[in-house]
Amino acid sequence: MPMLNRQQAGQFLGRIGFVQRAQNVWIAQQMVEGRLFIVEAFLKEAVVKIRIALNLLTRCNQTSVYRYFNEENTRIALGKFAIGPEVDHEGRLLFLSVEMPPGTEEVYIAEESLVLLIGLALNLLKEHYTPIERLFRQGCEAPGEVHGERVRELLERMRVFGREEGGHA
Amino acid sequence: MPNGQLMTNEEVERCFQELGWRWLPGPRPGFWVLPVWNPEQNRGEMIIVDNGQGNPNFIGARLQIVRATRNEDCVRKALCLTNGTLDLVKLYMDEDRDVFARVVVPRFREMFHRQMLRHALGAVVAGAAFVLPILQSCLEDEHCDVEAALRRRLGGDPGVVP
Repeated sequence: MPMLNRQQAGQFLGRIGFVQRAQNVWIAQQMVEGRLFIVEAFLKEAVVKIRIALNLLTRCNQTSVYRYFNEENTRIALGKFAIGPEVDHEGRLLFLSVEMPPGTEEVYIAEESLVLLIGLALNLLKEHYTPIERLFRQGCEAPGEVHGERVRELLERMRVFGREEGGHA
Repeated sequence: MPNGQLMTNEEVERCFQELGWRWLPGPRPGFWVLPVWNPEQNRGEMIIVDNGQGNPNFIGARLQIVRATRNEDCVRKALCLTNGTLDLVKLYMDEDRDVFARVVVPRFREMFHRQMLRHALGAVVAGAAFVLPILQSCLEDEHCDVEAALRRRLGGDPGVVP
């Protein structure tokens, strides 16, 4: 399959249902788990990015969400869960994005790579939206909760250490 | 993923050559160490590149930034916020609490262009340099305001964020 130039990549997005919103930015809508999501595609000089806003606006510390995001970001090769920029000082949207570096303007990306990025983003959304929403709905941390988590972490480490020590005895 | 042919180690090394990069052999075949200069930190960095060793479908480039010896939740929040700010690079903390910047490139020949490696390495170095002062703030102060640290960083202050 030949590589597309950047313009052809945009045309390909148009053929599969994306609408151009700005220079190098295309959008589409997708229903997943009975909910409507906006899928954005960015064809920039140094990155091809598929981004999906999870429609969850965080306004406070939500450590369990950060932990989940970090665990998954460590596990998956392509794709990342992230907290986006502030929205009108109201909070920050949670995002999922799948990115790949392009080649040159003329040898920009393979059609197959675009299909892969979009498919992977939708699969990640299907797999992770419900658990993320569940963690998100637990709300903000009460003061002292983080400290409590840390104590639990330390106790768990001590238990592991104790088991290891026992194993050597 | 497609059933195309995968880049061999020799082809990856040829790309390094064509890009004018120096490299050192890694711990096993399919791994390389690429010394790069980080102008912001004014120091050399060692990027580990692997050809399908982390995931058979991708060439991976990663750089260890720091080990989060404390305040892990603050570090995780900083990584989530920075991942939402920076393109291409992914920042994560592994189970040993080592924080990495990582980018992957497709390994299939028909999806690959050597320029992708250039973008990937650039994003890894820039991402690591960007997040380091924010992480230092987290490590120094468990009550660090990570969002303020990120705002400062976006404002162009390269120093450690109080």
